[in-house]
Amino acid sequence: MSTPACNTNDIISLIPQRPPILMVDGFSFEDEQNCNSTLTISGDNMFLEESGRLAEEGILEHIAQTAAAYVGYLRKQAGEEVNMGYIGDIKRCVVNHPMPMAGDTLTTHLTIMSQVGNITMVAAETAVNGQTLMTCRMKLAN
Amino acid sequence: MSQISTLFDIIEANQEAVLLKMNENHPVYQGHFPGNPITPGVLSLRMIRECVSREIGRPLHYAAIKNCRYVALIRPGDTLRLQRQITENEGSVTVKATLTDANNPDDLRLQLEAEMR
Repeated sequence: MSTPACNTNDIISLIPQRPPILMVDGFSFEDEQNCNSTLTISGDNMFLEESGRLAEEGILEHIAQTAAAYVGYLRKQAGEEVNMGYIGDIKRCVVNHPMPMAGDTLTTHLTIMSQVGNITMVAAETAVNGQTLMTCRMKLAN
Repeated sequence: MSQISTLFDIIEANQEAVLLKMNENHPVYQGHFPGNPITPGVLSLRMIRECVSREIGRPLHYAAIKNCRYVALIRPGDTLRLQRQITENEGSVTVKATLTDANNPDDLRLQLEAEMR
C-alpha cells in the first residue's frame, strides 16, 4: 500500500535541492521497490526553452530528484538526515518528443533495481497524460 | 534565451575541442545546493547539447542516451574542455563526448554516448 502523497512542503524535507531547481512537487512511497512522483510545470521553470517546451534535461533532473526523495524518505523513517546526492550514470535513456509545456503534469514511476550502501540504481518511466516521455536507468549516490 | 544558456560561456571552439567556463553567479547554484554549489549533472548534458547544436547549425534534442558516466563534480568557475566526435546521418546525430578539466586532460568529469535529432 502506498503512503499518502507528499506535497511540495513535505518534498523539501526529503530532498536537498531548492528553488530554482526544485523538480518534484509530489511524492508517494509504495514499497521498498517502488515509488511515484509528480511535477506540474510552472511558467517560470528553469528548464523551459524558447519553444515553450521543457528541455529533456529537466525530465532527467525530475527523475534524479524522485530517486533522491525515495532515499530521503527511507532516511527520514530511520531518523537520519537527508544527504546531498549525485548522479553516477544514466543508461538506456529513450526520449519521446514532443516535450511537455507549462501547465502539463509529469508523472514518474521508479522501480528500485538495487540499493547497496549509498548507491541506488533505479529504472524510471515518466509520462504526461498517459504518454511515455522518457524511460531510463540511473545510478545515484546519496 | 533560456535561463540555462547563461550557465556557461564558450571561451574558444575549434576542431579539437571547445573550452567552456562555468558562470559562478548562475541562480541554479542557489538551489543546487544551498551553501555547497555544484553543477547539476543533467546540465552537463545540456552544455554538450548546446555546443553540438551550434556546430551542426540547428537546435538538437536528445533522442537517446546510451551511456552517460559522471566521474567527478563540476563546480562554479571551473573551466572545462569538451572533446566530441559527431556523426550526422539522415537527421540523426551520434555524439561521443568527454568533459575534462581545461588544464588537466587526465581530470575526466564526464563521458557521453548519445543520439540527438
